[in-house]
Amino acid sequence: MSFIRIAHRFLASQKWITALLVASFSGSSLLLVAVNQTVESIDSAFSDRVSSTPLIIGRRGSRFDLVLHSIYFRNPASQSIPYGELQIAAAADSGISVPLLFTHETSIHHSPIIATTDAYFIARKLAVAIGSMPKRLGQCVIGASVADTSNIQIGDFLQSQPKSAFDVTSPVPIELEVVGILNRTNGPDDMAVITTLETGWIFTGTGHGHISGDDGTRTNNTDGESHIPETPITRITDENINSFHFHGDEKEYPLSAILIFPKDLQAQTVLEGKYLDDNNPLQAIIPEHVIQEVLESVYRVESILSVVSILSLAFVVLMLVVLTVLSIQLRKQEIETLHMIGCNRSTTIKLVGCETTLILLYSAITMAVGYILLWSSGVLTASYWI
Amino acid sequence: MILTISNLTFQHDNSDFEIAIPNWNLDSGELCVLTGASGSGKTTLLHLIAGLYLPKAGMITVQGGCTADLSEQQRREMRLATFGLVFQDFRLFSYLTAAENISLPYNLSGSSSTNPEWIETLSETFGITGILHQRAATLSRGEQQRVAICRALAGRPAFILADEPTASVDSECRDTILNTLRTYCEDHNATMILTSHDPSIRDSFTQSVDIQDLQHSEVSES
Repeated sequence: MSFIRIAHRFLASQKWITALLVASFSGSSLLLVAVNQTVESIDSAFSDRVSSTPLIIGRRGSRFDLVLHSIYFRNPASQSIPYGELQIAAAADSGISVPLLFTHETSIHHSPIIATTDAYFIARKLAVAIGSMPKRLGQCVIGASVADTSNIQIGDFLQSQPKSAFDVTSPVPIELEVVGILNRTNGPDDMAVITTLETGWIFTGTGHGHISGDDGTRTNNTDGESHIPETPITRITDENINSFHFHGDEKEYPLSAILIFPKDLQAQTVLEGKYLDDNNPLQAIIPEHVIQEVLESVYRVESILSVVSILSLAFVVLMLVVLTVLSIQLRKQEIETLHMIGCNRSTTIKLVGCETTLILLYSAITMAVGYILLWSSGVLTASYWI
Repeated sequence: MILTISNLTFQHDNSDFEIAIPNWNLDSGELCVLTGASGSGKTTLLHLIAGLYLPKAGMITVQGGCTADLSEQQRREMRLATFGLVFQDFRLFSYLTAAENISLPYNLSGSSSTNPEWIETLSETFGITGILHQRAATLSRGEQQRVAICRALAGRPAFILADEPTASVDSECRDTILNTLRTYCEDHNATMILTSHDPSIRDSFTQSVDIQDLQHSEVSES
């Protein structure tokens, strides 16, 4: 019977005190590690993504919401901006202008469906690992994480639904054909489904197709005389693709944001200047500045949490010392017995040392298990919080 | 002589109580019952012989070695190698099993004085085989006492110091304990000093001594 076994037996006989110590030790240590890791992860995710996105044009409002929407694909934009803005930016030859339209998500895994152009793939340096890029109306590529978690294969169809469940005005959702799987980027694109901009406009009802013989019902709206199909098409095929068309002025087609990758600083400054006027319903933001403001708050919170966890850890260490001293006092007879039956004085030190070591070991194991659970649940990753 | 006491005096710190024994000898294999009123110093004398206390004056010699001349480490080694101690209050570790309590001193000291077969024999003799894997806290007083005696014998000691080992057991169990201790001493030529209030057990011993008779006539308990 070893010292460790005796120490283990003693701790087991004091299970509530042991459990409290282990929980306190592992909890405060885990909090310290988890907070640091999460903040680092958020910082890294924010920094990497925003630094590669110099400028965003969107509807005036919350700058942070616009960043979350257009870079991290969170929260659909409350209002759209006209496609004409993209044409203006492109005409100014200020760099690469990328339109984004994000109104829908997949119905099963709720992955955001991003409608854009080839410029997005170029600007983000995205390439397919398997398959091809979406070229035709109704085609899409999926991010690496979407492929991993949903077991979706090339050739499968994804059902779409409006991002807002209360959007009753949205046309009947269509199915997207998966034609490619993107390389892993460890960013929001891994969780996204990316389709063509025109497909996005089908989602918003700007365009539609007709099945053979369905001329639709004529309507009068602000855009003038139009029509809607009697029987909406839910899957775009070679047979019906030619029936798809768009209504209204192309300049007014909706976008949720425009990502600008200026060719130089001068071009960026000129573009920013165009949107400085508070009366302009659109705004141009530099995401890095917005995120920096957010990170400052995050770091403040991290500092507070770190101080709290260090204090609690110090308190737990103090508690362990006090409990050890108390334990020695309470076990005076036990220690005396060991001495009387012929055990060395150092036996007591070894026993108490073993008990302390075991508490620290149990705490380390509990902390490791807790860390693995947090890690596997994704709480420590930036994507959980953003 | 396994034990020689000469001109012994001892006094606890902050206490007026004093033990004074001019002369007392025990041969190997002797079985001695030490009687005396409560508080007369029986337990203290056992502790002095075991080297747990050192005399204020005089000398205690065990197996030819004077306890006062030994270092604390040597006295510890002497207790482990020579003595089997049975305490009045058993002093078992409540969170360990009976088996773990029995082998505790030898396991913690890395001593090879005991072996599982011997412990098994002792367990059978004392009728505690069925409770070996029970925690000491769950045992009755009688069972705890038998476990404590087994622990004392586990290292095959040459000298048993038993402090009231039959105090908590019925007469049948008392006879078993006394017979077992006596048989052990006979088989191993071991010496035993046993303290007791029970006058009926005196016949089982080769020597019966009242501690008052051992002490100097001028010294008395205050």
